[in-house]
Amino acid sequence: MPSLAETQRGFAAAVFASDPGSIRPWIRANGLSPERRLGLYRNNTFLGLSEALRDGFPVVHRLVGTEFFDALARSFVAEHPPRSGCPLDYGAEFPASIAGSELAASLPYLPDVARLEWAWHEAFHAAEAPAFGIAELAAMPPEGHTQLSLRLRPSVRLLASPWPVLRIFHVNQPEYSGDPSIDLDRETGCRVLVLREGAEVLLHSLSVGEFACLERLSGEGSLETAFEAAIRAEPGFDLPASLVRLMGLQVFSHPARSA
Amino acid sequence: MAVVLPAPCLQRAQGTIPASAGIGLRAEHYHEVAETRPAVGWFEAHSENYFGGGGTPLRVLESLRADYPVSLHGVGMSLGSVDPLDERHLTRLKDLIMRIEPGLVSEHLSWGSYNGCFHNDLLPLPYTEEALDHFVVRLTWVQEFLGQRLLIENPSSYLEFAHSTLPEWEFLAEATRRSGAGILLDLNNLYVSCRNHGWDTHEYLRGLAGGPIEELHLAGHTHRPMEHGDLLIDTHDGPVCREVWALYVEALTAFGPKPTLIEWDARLPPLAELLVEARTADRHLEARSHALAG
Repeated sequence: MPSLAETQRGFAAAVFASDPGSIRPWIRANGLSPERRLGLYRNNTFLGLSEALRDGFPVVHRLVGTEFFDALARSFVAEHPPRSGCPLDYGAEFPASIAGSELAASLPYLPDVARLEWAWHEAFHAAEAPAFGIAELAAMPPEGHTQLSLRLRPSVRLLASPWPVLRIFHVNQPEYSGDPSIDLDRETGCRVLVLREGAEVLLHSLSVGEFACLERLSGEGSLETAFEAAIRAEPGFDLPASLVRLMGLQVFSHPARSA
Repeated sequence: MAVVLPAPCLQRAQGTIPASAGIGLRAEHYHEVAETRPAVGWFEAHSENYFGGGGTPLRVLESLRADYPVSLHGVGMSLGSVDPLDERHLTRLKDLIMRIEPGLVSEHLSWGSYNGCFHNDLLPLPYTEEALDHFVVRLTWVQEFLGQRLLIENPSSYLEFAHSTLPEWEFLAEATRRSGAGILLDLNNLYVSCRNHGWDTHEYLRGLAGGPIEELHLAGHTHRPMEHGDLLIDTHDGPVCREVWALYVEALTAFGPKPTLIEWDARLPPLAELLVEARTADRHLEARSHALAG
């Protein structure tokens, strides 16, 4: 008689490796073969997870259609079964899996569309944190500004892409009614700020300097090093103007005490 | 569409889940539920959908909690697995419990992960003494960790293990007795499993007589034709069938009026249709209460 561990090992092999060999003798046929019974569980797992990915990546789904999407999803599920029992966690590696997939090789922008959708998903579910804005900054002594350790709010994500993924995302929303065509040879890449405002996730386009500045801040840099990075990326970067804009967008959380 | 909600409110409805009908809270209904505050006794939320820490799902749940008792129903704890318990999962659940102050918290008599890989499903256990001991140890540990008693739900299943030595109802009764947990009896699952394995529904209910039944679930299922007749699949995608309503009446007679959830997770109908099912359950509950009072 198999132990509980052997039972579960055999069951998992039947579902994820299509290898029912070890568990088969321990399943009662009772009018239906053990293989068919295990096949039902295998289907439940693969269909359920494919559906979860469709829900999490609606633009990728819309761009490639259900049949193509399900093929991408099936190979992803087989290679990357969920590592937690919380469905919200599932799909983080899907963009990288698309990037490595032969199937999607002719759609080089697709992985970045998926990255943008995952950033959207993370922003949607992220923890709340009060914003640090102009008023809070004004209340601080000016000599401390350059040493300020501004941090991004938990619902903020950044993404840079050589493809116009922000436009691709917008024209593939169900409510979009304009011309959905995009000329990939003419349109350039983009830098996207993803953040939740209230209950809604919003996407904003960032300048090269703004992106470099925020990227440095997200890596725990000080405002001074963030400014240096921005200037290197975009000579003539206007820090005060950008800070006013980003603070207006409620990008920052309350800063940690500077060291 | 953005969900507009009133400001968070510290005043809350009392938390105890009443012996009336409740409905599942689903994202598709967030807006309508937030706007219309339907006349229903309580809501049940899938715990894991609120593990994000913020955003619309938690705002909706917290706002509803101001007006209704809420039950948290988990699907991902994998209580029956031989894998180590996932402390991150349990911590997220504990945080959610502190935040929502649920009237009931439930999980399943099942397993879901092996070697760290999750099946996204509620898989059947072999009903052996070894599995029973294992399940009881884990359940006891989890209840202590959470500081919360759990209800354990009977699963739907599509296979039986040849090495099982106990009937499912005995395993469930014994696991909850030894751990001090309660039972969430899903009458649709009971019906589906009995039909699929040739078990007797009356014997199943009799086997739980005197047990701590504290919540009932009702749901729809699907018939899938197989070479030797239909297999019933627990799809939660339609109305409660006649046979399950009959089992419900039998269960109310056996166990008395209990909080009853209408579960409808896939191919969701308009909210109004869910509320019609809830009213049917309420009528049965009232009839049973009157019979007891008379």
